[in-house]
Amino acid sequence: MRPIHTSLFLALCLASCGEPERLTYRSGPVPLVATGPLFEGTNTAQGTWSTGVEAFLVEQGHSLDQLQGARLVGATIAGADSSGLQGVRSISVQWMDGATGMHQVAVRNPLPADSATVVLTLANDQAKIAELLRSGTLTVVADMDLDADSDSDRHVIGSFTLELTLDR
Amino acid sequence: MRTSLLLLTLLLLPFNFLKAQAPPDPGDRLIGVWEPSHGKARVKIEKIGTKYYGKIVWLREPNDATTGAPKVDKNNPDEALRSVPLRGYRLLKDFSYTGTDEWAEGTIYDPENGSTYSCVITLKDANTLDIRGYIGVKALGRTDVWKRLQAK
Repeated sequence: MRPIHTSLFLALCLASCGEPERLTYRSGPVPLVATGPLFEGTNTAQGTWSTGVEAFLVEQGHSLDQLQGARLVGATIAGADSSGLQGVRSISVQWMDGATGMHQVAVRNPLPADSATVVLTLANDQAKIAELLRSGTLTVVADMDLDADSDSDRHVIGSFTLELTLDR
Repeated sequence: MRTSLLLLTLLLLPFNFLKAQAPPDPGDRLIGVWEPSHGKARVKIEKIGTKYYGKIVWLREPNDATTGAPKVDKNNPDEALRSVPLRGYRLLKDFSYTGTDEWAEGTIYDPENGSTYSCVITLKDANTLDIRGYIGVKALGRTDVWKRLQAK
């Protein structure tokens, strides 16, 4: 009986030691601005996002070197003022950095009328997400289709939830 | 107080002068609105960070003939992104100016078949671009001529 228990224990131990650890990371609000004048049709809002992933990992007792993979598991865009996302017909979000290039991560088309916040549909192809996060600072680009011209800037806020996979 | 302001102005003057004299980035000649040879779309090229990106800003036929709704990227290999509007779609990505009127290291996306190709852009004259898309070897590709949309 004892040898069976020992083998089982060893097998469980090996299995748990081999499995990567997963952590959920939520970005703070990422402010994006489309500088006016804006025109009916497609306009670009952008902002810089210092992801804070490295500091988060250190806080959790890990290091950035252990980051094996990452998936975007949630993304929302909200209006930054009382007008919400009024007049925005669609939003398409890209992340980019100088080395990795630009990658489309999420979209919502069409937006429900008079939304204040929208949940975006996430890209299936997320092969570059971990590489982008390793750079520490990303440019977030949101292409917004507007239904009317406007002289003023348009402010929106992005929020992102990531599942990080770490080597033990 | 007045003396301090005068002193500050005098100190900053040379910097403002230098800023005014800074030569324009030759890579920025790519920025503008361009029309491919088929004339079915217009693409606005802009600079984000240090690289150049082009997105569709106008379509001759903006709506799908079957549904009547605005066209979307229905051929995208990533099914989750097939609702991305074609008007606003970023066809050209990640181009760097390499000198001698050439922008390289970027890609071009063909929404007609959902394929992405390596691409090199060459400025033939101020209002004409050669856009060469290829897979693997630059020599085995196809070139299209794009014309700058002139301000009326």
